[in-house]
Amino acid sequence: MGALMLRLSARHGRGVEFHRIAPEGLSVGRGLGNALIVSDPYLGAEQFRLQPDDGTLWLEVLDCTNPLRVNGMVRAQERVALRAGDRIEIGRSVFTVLDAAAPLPPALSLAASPWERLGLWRAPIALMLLLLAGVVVGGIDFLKSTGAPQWDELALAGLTICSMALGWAAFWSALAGLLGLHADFWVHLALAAITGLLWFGGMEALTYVAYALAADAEGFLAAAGWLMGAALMYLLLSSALSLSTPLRHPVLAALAATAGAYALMGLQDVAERDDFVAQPQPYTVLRAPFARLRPALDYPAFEAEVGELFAGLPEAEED
Amino acid sequence: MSLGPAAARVGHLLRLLALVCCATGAAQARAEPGRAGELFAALRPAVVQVRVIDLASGDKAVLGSGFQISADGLVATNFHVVAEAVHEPGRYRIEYPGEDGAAVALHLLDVDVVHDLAILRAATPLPGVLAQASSELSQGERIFSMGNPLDLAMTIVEGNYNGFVAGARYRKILFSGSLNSGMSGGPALNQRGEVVGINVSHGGEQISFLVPVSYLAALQKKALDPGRAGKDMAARITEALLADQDGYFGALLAETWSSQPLGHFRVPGSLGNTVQCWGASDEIDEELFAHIGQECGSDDTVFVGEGVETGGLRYSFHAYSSEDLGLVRFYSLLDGQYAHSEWFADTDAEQMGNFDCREDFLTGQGIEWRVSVCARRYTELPGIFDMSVAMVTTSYAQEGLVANLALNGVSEPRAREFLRRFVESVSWAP
Repeated sequence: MGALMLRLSARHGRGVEFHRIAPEGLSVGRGLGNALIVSDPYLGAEQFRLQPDDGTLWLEVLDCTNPLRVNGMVRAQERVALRAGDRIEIGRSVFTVLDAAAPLPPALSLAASPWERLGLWRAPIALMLLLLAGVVVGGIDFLKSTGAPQWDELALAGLTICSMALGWAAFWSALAGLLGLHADFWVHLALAAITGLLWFGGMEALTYVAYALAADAEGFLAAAGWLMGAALMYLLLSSALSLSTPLRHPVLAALAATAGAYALMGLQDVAERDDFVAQPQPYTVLRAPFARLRPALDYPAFEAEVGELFAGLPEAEED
Repeated sequence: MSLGPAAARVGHLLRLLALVCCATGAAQARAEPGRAGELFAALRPAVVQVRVIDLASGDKAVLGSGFQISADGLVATNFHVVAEAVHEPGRYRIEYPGEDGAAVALHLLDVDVVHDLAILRAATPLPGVLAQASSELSQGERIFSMGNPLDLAMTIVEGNYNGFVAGARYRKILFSGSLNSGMSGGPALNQRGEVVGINVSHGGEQISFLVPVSYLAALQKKALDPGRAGKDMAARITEALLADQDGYFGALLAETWSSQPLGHFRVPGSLGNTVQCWGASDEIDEELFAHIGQECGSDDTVFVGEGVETGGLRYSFHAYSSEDLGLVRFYSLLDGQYAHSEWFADTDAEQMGNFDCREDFLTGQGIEWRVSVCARRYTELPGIFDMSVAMVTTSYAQEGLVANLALNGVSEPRAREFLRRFVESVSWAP
């Protein structure tokens, strides 16, 4: 076996370092006396040592305060023979043994994410997505207007969604910056613009679907809108969290946060469903005739529905 | 026509009499009281303030007026004065202040909710009884109303009889005089001091309304019918409302509905003489569409209790057309107009169940509609409903009609019949 390298990366985040393993070995830990100092609070002062010996690289685990895994198996105070490609995990840190002569495997390549592969194109692409979101929102507003186009108002509608996306991206990249993590403003901006597009365009599409398919478009829309909102919130929040924070399980955290918020909103909906409203609910849905898929009822069939409505009316609550 | 010699002689005699009266009056340095004063003095003992007392606090909750109509202590007033005590007898009692100021109990005997009348029985009869007029009044005739406005004092007000309110669903006398809160249930009298009506409401300056006394006579007769004694008040009220609604909507449905153009549609105009229509079209320069609107309704409702009224009927038609808006934008415009109207009185869950709705496509008279129908129950009036309908045409690319209908306090069969007729009454007439 030729010269070996050690690749160090954080479990979440994008920073990667490479270290050559010298013939006299490499000590790794939080203490300043180590050859490789890692500022991970889960590592011991002297956590482990890598020692090449007669063609074999030996791992000596020196601290058992926190579990150290080699290729997923916990190892404690023992000597383990390592090979190129083995993976040592402890705390927030991941170490990978590499063969210095072999090319870097694609899975460990720095340009692993398709977004990162875009390089300098990231900024214009994010801005294009943002512009598209603004145009879509302005366009939807135009379709809902009944006069000659009011360009200033349409532009304002588009600018509103753009400024919201910019604010979102600024918040998460600033948060990542504060936490000393990889803070890519453009990826957050692109995410926010895509979410805006999906939300506004998606709601419009859902209204058409509801109108075409559902007898009770309002109920359909409420359910579909709720699900879409939950899904988008989850996607946006989980990506933002995994991009910006050192949490061990950002996906779970985002899931818990959004599920919690939506469960509360859902409970509130259920609680308010029986609240008394003095006027009939004014919200009904209409779209252009081409969107209609349901056949119209003749009067007897319609009257049967009205009969069901009366028969099914909830009994009023007596004191 | 002149009065003639005989009349002139009588007139001369009257003037002489008047002079004698003035002479004695002047001796007492007092002006002549006039007919109002005489009636007040003579009839005051038969008129009382009616008080509804909140049992929990012992304080008055509602004040009105009333008058005795029989020597054995039957007292007439408005239903709306005693409505709270009718609906919640356990929370209120009814009384009047006797001559010595001590409260005398009044017991509810019967009600006519449709004409807003109630008859009570006094534990101690009043010293006077008012007779009910049998002769007709003539336009402009002077009449007098008694009652206790704003809890100030028993008063008498002069005014004129101006016939019955035109186009009213419930017959009411138009009294050109000033009624105020608290006078409800008091008597309106002709010159002879006979009751011609019962004070009920006011509509503006010198515009007041009286319930014709004939309804009181009918209620009095009914109240003493032994066959009615077993029925509780809620059942009597429900029965009366259902009969009234049935009669009213039955008559409207039996009529041939007029038809008038609205844009390229034909829609019904006013129904009978109780439903009035108003134009509601507008033209806005910046908008790329034309709008013609018509709103019709009868606001004559029956007061049943706080927040509960029945009998309202409203409908509207709004036609839109545009050659400049594309299909998607034109239907966005209609989408904004297609909604239920907020025509129902603010009320609460104690009085009403919640609205439930159904929405679907419907073909009627060759027109395709998107229709939403909502309905709700009245808590204490079984068999009585509110219904609201919103409809919009989906047949045409550049024309659309939005129709709304609201029926207040109606039976299910009448509501459904009316809806069918309403849908059938609209046609496309390019």
